[in-house]
Amino acid sequence: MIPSEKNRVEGKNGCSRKPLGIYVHIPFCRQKCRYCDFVSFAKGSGDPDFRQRYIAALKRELAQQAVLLKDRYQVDTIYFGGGTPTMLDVGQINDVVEEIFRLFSVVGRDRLEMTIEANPESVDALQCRRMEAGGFNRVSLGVQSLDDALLRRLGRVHDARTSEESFKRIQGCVTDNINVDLMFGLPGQTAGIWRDTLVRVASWEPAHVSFYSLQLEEGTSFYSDYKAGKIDLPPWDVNRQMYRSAVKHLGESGYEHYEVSSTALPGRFCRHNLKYWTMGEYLGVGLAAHSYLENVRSENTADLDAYTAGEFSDKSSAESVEEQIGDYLFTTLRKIYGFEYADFKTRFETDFLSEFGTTTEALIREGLLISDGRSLRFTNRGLDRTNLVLSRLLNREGGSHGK
Amino acid sequence: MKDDQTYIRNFCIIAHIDHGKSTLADRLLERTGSVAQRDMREQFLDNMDLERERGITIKLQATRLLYHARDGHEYVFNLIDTPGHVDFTYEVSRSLAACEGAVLVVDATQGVEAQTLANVYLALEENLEIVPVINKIDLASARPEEVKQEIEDVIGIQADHAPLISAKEGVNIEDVLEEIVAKVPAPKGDPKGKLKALIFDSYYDNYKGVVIYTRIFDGSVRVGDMIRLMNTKKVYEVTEVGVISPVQTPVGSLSAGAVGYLCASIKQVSDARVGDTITLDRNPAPQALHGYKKVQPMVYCGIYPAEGEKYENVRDCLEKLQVNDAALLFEPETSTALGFGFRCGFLGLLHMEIIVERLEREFDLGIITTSPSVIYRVVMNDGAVLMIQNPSNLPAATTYSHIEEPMVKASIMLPKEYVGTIMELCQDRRGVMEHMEYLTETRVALHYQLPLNEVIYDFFDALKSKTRGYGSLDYEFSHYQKSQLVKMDILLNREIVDALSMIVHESKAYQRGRFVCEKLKDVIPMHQFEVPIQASIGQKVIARETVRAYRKDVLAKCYGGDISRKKKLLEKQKEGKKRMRQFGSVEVPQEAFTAVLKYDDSK
Repeated sequence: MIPSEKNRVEGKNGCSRKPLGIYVHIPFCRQKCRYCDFVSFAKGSGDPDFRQRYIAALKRELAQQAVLLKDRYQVDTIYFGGGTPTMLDVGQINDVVEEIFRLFSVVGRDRLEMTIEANPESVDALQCRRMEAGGFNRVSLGVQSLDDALLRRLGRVHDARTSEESFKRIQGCVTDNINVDLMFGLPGQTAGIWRDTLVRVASWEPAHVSFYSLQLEEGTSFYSDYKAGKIDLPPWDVNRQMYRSAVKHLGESGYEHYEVSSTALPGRFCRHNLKYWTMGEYLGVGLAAHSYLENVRSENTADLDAYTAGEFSDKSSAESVEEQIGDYLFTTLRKIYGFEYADFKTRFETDFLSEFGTTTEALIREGLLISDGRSLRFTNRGLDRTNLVLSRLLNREGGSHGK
Repeated sequence: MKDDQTYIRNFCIIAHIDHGKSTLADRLLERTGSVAQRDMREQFLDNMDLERERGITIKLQATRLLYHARDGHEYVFNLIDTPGHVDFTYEVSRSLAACEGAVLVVDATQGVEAQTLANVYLALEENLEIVPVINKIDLASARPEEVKQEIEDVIGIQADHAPLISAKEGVNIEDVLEEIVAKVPAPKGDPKGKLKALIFDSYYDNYKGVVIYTRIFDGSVRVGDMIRLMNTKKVYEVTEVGVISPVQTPVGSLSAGAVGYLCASIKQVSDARVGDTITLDRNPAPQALHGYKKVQPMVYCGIYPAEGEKYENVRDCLEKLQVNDAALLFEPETSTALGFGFRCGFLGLLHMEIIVERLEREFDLGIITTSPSVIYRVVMNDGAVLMIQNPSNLPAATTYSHIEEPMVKASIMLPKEYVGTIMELCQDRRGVMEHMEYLTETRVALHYQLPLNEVIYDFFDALKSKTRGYGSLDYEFSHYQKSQLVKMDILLNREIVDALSMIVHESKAYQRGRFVCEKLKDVIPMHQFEVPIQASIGQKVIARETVRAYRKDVLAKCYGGDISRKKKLLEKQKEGKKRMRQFGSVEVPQEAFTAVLKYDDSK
């Protein structure tokens, strides 16, 4: 079934409204991490006037969007990401939150998921009180590692102890619905160091744990350092071993692996992120933010001056069915349970296997995908080569390529 | 009275880049009412976007202005614009030959520059009267008296009466006009004589055919005349003559002293070559004007369609450019690495860069250009001679006796403090110094014999960089010379990429090989596997680098719902001009081909 149909909610005057996620991008950081290629910067982040101008622009963009969307949608998830949203005074963030409530129809507080990303060094007692006051009921904490030497090498400004203190502080006065973000495959990281981080994080009993393999992106300092031979990464088999040990260890601690890089205690999935993986609709506001509404993907400008001057949108395009199918496969297969053929058929009015049968069969034969006849998902082996599998699927490359 | 030669002044403007030539031209047009202010696009004469961007003039233009002078007479001014780069020296010399005088614009803050000097010498060779003008006097750092002194010292002409102007602010522009009246001699041709007219530019028009810009020296020409081009010996019937004021305006006839345009149903600019002399077929002049030269390409490179671009599109666009550019040559060729494309000949590196840029910007083509090469003369064992423009066509080393390379006579003008550095540079580029002269106390001219293949790589960039922009270069072909040349191949992942092969001097091969490998290592992105990059001569590897492997097997974080960027990486691009080229399993960005040529300051 199409989630957007299933989740239709009744509006005030009886007409049905579709659920909407709102993503708000806060591009400021105290310091740029050496692996980061997201739109964020330390420059100007310390200037209060500048930050205030950004907040004002965010509110203007929200107001513009609300005119178009408020009658058709009801907001059920809000996500403040960055950068480091908690670089701002959370009071300012709450100002944006209030604007969302004022401009949009929003579900009741008990049904609303409202997440803010935080870095350990920027979460003090005052920030926590403000998060709580603003209504945030989920916090994603960028811990990355509990090894101080590794953290320094990543260009992170916090240490392990700060992470633990921040976690406890959030748990004590904001919410226990906390995600801990971790990274593996880092330069100098061993399987032992990684296991130690996992064990300690699990002992805090967060509701959600995400773990990402370090990716070297062109333009980052890690990419050029690695290319120049200045840093080394753990061998690929060790990287995969780290991945499997995370799934295994967290699984044994009661976490369900539901997306390639995410695990959660029962019922604690991130509903906002799941929208990304189920073709759900979302509005992104802020610098370089992305939206997906009515089969149109759009992208905001990445030019901060243009953004604060009110030139928000950069490009948008209505997706063809072919593109939607590509998106669907690319996103839904990130979920551990993949997608159901029936859902594909309802959505695109065509049979998945008649379109992708040859490639799918080859990938199943090679042990990279698995099907129970009703749905399709990655095998454990496939999870180690997700890019290859998706690339072959999207390009309909048959079984002759690679083994 | 207008056509009386006494009241005609034919002149051009000479200036260093950025000294204000085009701005002054605009002011002259404006002040003489030739262009209404509201119609002024800034810098009217430079009408190609590319020229505006680079601040240089590529294509010559000529404009007729009417000026009521203080003496009460109305004068006809023909302003002939000149391009400003070493590749176009010949064109410059022909447009100077169409004038009696030259306005020399010197920046009051910068003084006389090397490039100015090169053009002044060309003007003096054509016996032009030089009218110095000091520009930018509105700037706080202007030092007009010193600059006047410099003009007198360096060029040896009187400058005490030079108008002090600000072209930008429109200050004292009339003084310039009066100086032109007073100092530039009137033409002295014989209107009753046999027709002698100089072609100083031409371009192709879709409706009129080739439009010739011409200066009439003797005699006259009118519609219906049968004209003969004395060097190409072709005969045409004149369909239109006119003046440019500043749009083309037909007139009954053009006679001695006049500058204007002429159409005669000519199909290609290569049939109406710059420097050729027009005469009447029935009553021809006994001798052509001196100075005609058929320009020959000196530099060749391959131009190939990039991924997703059609071969036919590239051919059509080259054809379109050629109609207007007698110096551009091209013919089909094939490369194992790049497929079907063209070998193209240019006057020099700038000419090449301009053509490439026009193909990319004006015609929106996706193209790949290969290393520029000169024409080598290969003497085979049996004495036969092969002219090789493409390094990959060089026959096996055992089949030829030796290779000869083209040498140029190069003149480099520069401030004396850079002499040591530039002599080192020339020596490094296998140059042999002929002599050196002090032009003034601070300015020096170096005369060298240089192999052209060293000049086309990065010599000009290196010269500019090492002299902080003050050095200028002028060169002309001299002769072929036997030389120890070898072919160097580049291998990616153990396969030769023929488009990267080059012919280098044996003594430079190691250095060049290392340089190319390092550059390629920089621009080739990491792959899932290691990519060895090798330079080799025959079977012998002389340099090697490796691009590290980086496995990107798993999905990355898709931030804030940005799925498109990551998804695109997994999709084979079905359309668009992807700037990557696949060699075996290695993806090479297009800029790799030019990156290996760029001057590297750190060297």
